[in-house]
Amino acid sequence: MIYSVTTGGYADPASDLWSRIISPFQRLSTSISDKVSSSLDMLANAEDYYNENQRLQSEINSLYNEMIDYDRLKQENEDLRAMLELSEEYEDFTFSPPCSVIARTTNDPYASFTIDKGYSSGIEPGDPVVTSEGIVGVCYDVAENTSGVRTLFSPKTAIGVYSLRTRTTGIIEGGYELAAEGYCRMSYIDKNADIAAGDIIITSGSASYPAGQLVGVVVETAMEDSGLSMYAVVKPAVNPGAVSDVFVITGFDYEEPPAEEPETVPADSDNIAEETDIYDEAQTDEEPETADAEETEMTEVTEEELSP
Amino acid sequence: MDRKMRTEKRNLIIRRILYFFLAATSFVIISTVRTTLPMPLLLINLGVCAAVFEYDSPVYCSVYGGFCGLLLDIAENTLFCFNGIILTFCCLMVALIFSCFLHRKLLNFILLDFGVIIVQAALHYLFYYLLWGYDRDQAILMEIFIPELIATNIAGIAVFGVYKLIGHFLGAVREHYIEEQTGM
Repeated sequence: MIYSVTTGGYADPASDLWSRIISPFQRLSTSISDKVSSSLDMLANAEDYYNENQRLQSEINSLYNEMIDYDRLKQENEDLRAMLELSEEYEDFTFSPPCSVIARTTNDPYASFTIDKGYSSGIEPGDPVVTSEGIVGVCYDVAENTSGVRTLFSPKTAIGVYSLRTRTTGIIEGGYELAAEGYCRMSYIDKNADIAAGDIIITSGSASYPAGQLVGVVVETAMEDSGLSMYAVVKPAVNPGAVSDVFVITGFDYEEPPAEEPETVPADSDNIAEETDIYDEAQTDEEPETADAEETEMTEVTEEELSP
Repeated sequence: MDRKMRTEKRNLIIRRILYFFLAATSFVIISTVRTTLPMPLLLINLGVCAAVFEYDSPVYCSVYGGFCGLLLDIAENTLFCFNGIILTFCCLMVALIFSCFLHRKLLNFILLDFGVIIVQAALHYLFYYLLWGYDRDQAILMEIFIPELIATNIAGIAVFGVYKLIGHFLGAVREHYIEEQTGM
């Protein structure tokens, strides 16, 4: 005992040995006692635990509901953010509210679908349907609160496009076999045009759809069977078969290209002369300063000749 | 007897409401479920099956067929009334054929269902693909329409089973009452 006082707080060897022998039994007895007490506690407080369990279950359910709400709000937020980005990028565009895909056409090889906005949201037939990633298709069959969307896969969709690298123009249209593989086709490309795999394709713009919308990327090119033109297989930037939320461009600034004057066939020589005069006048109008200067010079020469 | 008639009338109303509920459910299924397999046009089966089980009321059969057709128009994005008219006419024909010539057997149903599906698919293909002269329109016929036709006809067996079940519990089968009367 006296020795144990002098060990400086450590157990003396005998005590150490004793504790080594005893400790497993202590552990065992403690665990048994814990189990027994917890079993007794469970039996004694079963009702409390049951109530607690019910309360926690309801809390979990409410948290699940909150998670669902959060997910919905997050999705809505992302949609609105994408719309805001689009609005900032294209200031002259008017967008519909975010539209959800509510139905897909049964067994349609061209993946057309129905959205939950119609003419009550300002949508008109032919309006382009887009996501923040690119164009998806065009609206048709517009009802008050729903619209059908014809995708880039449909052969009825024909959108003027060009290659961003070389400005090679063509028409985007769909077809059954390409649609099944998730591609569409850029047709009517000049056979000597410079277009290759990897070229980015964007819309060329018309009164129906705006210019500069991303369509997709060229995967491969080939000559048409006729040999008169080329076509390119294009991988759309957006897979129309997988979209769930889209926007419709309901309005944008479009400048009509200047109308070309109709060519008239001259009936006789007088008309030819008149037309030549008109043509000359038109040319004079194009370069007014040069023409005036020449006229002035000629006038001066004539006066000099006449003066002596 | 009076009680039996009241029960029969009640069953008739419940049964017909149930048919409309089935049509609405099928519409939701075929227009929202996304699958790589051909989706059976359950609404055709429902219309034909109703004509088989309710052939004593041809007007109801044609109205129900028309309703299924209109839902199919929305699901397939076809011209409004395209399928409506086809199914109205076909269901009326099926009801008349069953009331005059055929027994209410599964094989008879499958044959007539197949006929109706072929008529609908042929007209759909003709007006929506063939006349437009799309490239590879025969591939659409072989890879879209024929699998759809087969899937629809196979699904018709299940629909027939459901209708038979409804008929069993809600007294659609007239013979059921005849048997009861005979039993008395």
